[in-house]
Amino acid sequence: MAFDPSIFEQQRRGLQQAYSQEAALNAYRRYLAETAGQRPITQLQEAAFKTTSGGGLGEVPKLTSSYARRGLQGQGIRSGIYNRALGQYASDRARSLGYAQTDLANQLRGYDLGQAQGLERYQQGLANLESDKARQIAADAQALLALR
Amino acid sequence: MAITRYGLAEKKPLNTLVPSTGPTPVRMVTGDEPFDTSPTGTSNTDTGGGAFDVVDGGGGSTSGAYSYAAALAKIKADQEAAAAAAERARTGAQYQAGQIQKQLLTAGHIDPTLLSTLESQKSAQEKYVNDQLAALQARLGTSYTTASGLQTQGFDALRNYLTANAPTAYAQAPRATAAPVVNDLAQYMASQGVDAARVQPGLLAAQAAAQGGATNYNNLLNTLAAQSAAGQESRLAEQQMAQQLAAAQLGAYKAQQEGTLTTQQLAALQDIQSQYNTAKFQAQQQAIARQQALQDALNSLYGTGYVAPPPPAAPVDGTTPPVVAPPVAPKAPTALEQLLNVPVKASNTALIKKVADFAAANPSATAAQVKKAFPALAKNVK
Repeated sequence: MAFDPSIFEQQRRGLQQAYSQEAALNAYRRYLAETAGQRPITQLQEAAFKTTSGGGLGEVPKLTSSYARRGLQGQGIRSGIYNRALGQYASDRARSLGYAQTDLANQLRGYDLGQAQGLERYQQGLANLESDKARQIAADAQALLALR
Repeated sequence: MAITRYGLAEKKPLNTLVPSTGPTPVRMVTGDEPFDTSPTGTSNTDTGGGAFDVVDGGGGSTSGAYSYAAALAKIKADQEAAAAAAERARTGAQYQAGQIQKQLLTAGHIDPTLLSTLESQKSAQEKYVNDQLAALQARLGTSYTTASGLQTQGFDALRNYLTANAPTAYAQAPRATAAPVVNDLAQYMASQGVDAARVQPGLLAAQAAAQGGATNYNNLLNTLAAQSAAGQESRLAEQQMAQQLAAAQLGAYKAQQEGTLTTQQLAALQDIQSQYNTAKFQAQQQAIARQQALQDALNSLYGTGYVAPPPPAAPVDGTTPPVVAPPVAPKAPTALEQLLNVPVKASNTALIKKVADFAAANPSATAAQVKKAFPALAKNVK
């Protein structure tokens, strides 16, 4: 096969188009994943103090008031059981929130990795194409010498 | 013409012999032999008779008259004619011998004009072959330069591209950082008098998970980036190897073609030399044959006795040395011709090329030069 630049340009366009489509699709999936992953985090964050749709108290005020009704919390009252309960709640909440954020970050990193892999494939494809081009030129040069 | 038989009627001295008047044949008598008078005794080979026949060429004498003087005159005339003929033959033979001897001086050698023509033809053919070789070698060299340039250009472009476009996807991918986990209830807990340290277990667990995820991701990226960098090094090495291999292939092909051309040149030169030697041999053969023919013709002339052969060379053993043509020394092949005639394997292209180059550069090389340039072939060159 004689060296034909148009064939290599065709391959280059193919690589570029495939990369672009893959990158666009990956970016969109990342967006969807981020949106979906952020939602429980926000809910978790807001659940502490935000009142419910039915007018109920948030989880923290609810916990405090429940102990206050039993006289275990209030002005001038310092009870160990309330301290433990609030501390446990805060700890659990921080762990859950952290886990949720980590899960989301990991999921987004998956998409970032996919993006990097796509770019790597594209770059390697271009390098392969250039190698093929040089190899074809070398073969054609040898054929030209044989045709002298 | 008539044959008249002469006889003796009586014995008379030979010098007084007179013509007879009768029909009796006259017979010249040389002795007292019996005389045969029979009309049938016609043989002059009779041993007992002394008669002889006289051929009467005068014609018309039917009378039987005899003229002894006329016979003597005729005999004399015949002798004179014979002497004149012998003289003519001698003169002719001498002239012929002289001419042959003159030709013999140059016989046995190839005619210089013919030799010159043969040499010119050989030189022209050799020049043609050498010119053809030079033209083909020039074309091969041009094609090689073009092909080599194309290859270099292609591989240089690849190297430049690879150097300027090293893969960066993994190396430049954003690294992950663990988001800090904070206790957003700290202020509320403080207002309620609750110790903030109680949140630490949850914070630590979340922090560990976040840190672990980020670290693993970064490690993965680093591994992939290293792999990609190794691939890039491999590509560059591959480019160098491919370039060297392609150049070696081109060089090998060029060398092979040059060897083929040189082999063809040597074969053509050997053919020319062979044709030249054959033609020269045939010319020499013809010259020797001509010399031999001239010598044979001269010997035949000597054999007639009309011309005397040259005095023989001083005999040693008492015998007459044969007359032989001077030996003609064949022209010895030149040192270069001997070198070109040395059989060489067709696969030994290096030696063939070296010999061809030497022959082209030194058309009149001496034996010493040839031996010095090709010590291994010195025994084939004298």
